[in-house]
Amino acid sequence: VSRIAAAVALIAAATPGEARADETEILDGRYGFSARMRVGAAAAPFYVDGLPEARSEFTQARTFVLAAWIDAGRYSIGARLPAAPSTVRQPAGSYADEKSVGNPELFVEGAPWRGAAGPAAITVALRLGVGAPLADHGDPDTLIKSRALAISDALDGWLDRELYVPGVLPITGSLWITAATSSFELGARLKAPALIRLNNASLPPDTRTRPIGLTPSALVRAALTAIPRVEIAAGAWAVISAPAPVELPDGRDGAVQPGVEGRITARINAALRLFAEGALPIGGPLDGTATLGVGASWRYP
Amino acid sequence: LTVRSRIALAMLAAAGCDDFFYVCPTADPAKLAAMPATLSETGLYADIETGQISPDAREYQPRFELWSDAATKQRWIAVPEGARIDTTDPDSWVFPAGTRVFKEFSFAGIRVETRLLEKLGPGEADWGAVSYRWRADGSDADSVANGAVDPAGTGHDIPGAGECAGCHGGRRSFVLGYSAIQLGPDQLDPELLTEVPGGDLAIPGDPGEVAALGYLHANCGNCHNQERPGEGLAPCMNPDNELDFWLRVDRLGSPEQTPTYETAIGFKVTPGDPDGSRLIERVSSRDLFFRMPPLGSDRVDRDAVDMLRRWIAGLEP
Repeated sequence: VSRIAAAVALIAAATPGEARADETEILDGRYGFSARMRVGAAAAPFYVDGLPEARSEFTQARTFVLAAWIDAGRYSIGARLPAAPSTVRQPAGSYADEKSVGNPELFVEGAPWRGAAGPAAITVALRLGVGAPLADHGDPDTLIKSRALAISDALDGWLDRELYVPGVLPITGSLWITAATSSFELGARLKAPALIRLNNASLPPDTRTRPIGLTPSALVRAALTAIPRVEIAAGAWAVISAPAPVELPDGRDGAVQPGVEGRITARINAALRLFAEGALPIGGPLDGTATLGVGASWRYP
Repeated sequence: LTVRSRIALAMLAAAGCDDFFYVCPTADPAKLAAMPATLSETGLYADIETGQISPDAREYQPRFELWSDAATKQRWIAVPEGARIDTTDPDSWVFPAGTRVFKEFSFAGIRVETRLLEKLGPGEADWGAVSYRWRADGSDADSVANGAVDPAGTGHDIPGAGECAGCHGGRRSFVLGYSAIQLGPDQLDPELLTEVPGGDLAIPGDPGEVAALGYLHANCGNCHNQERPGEGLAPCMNPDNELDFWLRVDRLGSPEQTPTYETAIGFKVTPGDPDGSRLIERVSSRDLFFRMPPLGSDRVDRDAVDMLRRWIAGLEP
């Protein structure tokens, strides 16, 4: 009950423009805050001989991302703070609770071009993020924190790998293009994180880490205001992880991960939105992962 | 995962339940650091290349085996010279510091792992545990604190060091297979014990009852017993119910005197009705959420299920 209460309080305190869908909203002279929690079953490739997979079933695999931003004239600046608490499945069938944190990210965002095409307002937004290489990979004897990070990475469908890969300095550029009418919005995002290796994150010495890992992704999403105050969105994505930050035990150099997502957003008032979402990687390295999530966003004024 | 498991686990997660009994603490890094990095350093082998066992390691065979997916297992115990195992409590022996207990797992002649329990100090909680993964060339085995998933292609997974407490942590003795009940009168070694337990240590009942009581003791009693140490601490494999399958030296007069009959009959075991017995349902499953035992096995022990069914069918309703 206390956890549910804490989650409700967190959501109540949270803010607008959920990170991926509404990023361009932060450019309108506002400041805001958002929080998102995902739970689910996760099966993610891992990097260590004998531990080819990081798994968690519905047993408390979670990821939290807090984002906050302020308007700074032509640009907005903000931060994302990922947390990765997870119940990690062990080889013999027990589980280990682990709490880890990912790479905090500072970002700058701007909209260099806005225009119109018929009835649709077109916005092009750019974001540059730099992560602090603080992801907590923990003890080399257990690698449980590393696996908790991999599980949270999977729960996000590898769309935010810059937040969860340990031992790297992430530099991420992204481009949003949206076309919006009063009741319909179509958006596409291209994102290109470069994960610059700083250390081997306590992985075994024979693990083949890459000096630079690239995980570009494309995401398209359509959102429709179906009934007043309620928005339904659906999207699809693909992530290419090549070269992968760490070579997989089977020797693969990279992988492609497609997936689909859906979301229902309730506009409580002008400032507050609540949403529920689901994501399903299709095939690929994350096959077997399924995610449900809730979140809230708030903006002011 | 079956749909049933997913629904059940999703509901648990949504309700914020993480006091889940499958959750075990991770291994203590200090204890891991105190244990040898390779099997050749443990003293089990006089010559690991030739497979010659050290004379300090005494092989033993429990009367009732833990099911390990049909693994072939060998066991040895090494007690420091001059030290003795305190048998004051005949059901929960106290092992001297320095005791090392080994169990080697093979499948179709392929050695996969050798597990080590080591008493690192005099205290009850001073046990360290880790497994050693055999190298492909058989020259030695290396400590794998993380465990390993199917490292030899046999389908057998090596547990992480923290998982050992899932079974062994259910008894104060920590060692499960080296006990008065498990050794029986023929294997009790006076050189290693402060006092040899008296009595014939015969498990009561007809052969079917003996087989059932012994199997439940070895496979279920380590978790399902009413003398678990550290109550209120980690939920690790603590069923937190009144079931008790642990055989006790002073309660071997008849099957009805055993904790199994006292606690399970009429509860998880419906006399005369195997199909209506929850015990049969659980041991017949390897479903993530309903399987019993909950760890260390991916395959149902079909022979044991048949044996337990016959036992239940023979019980008077």
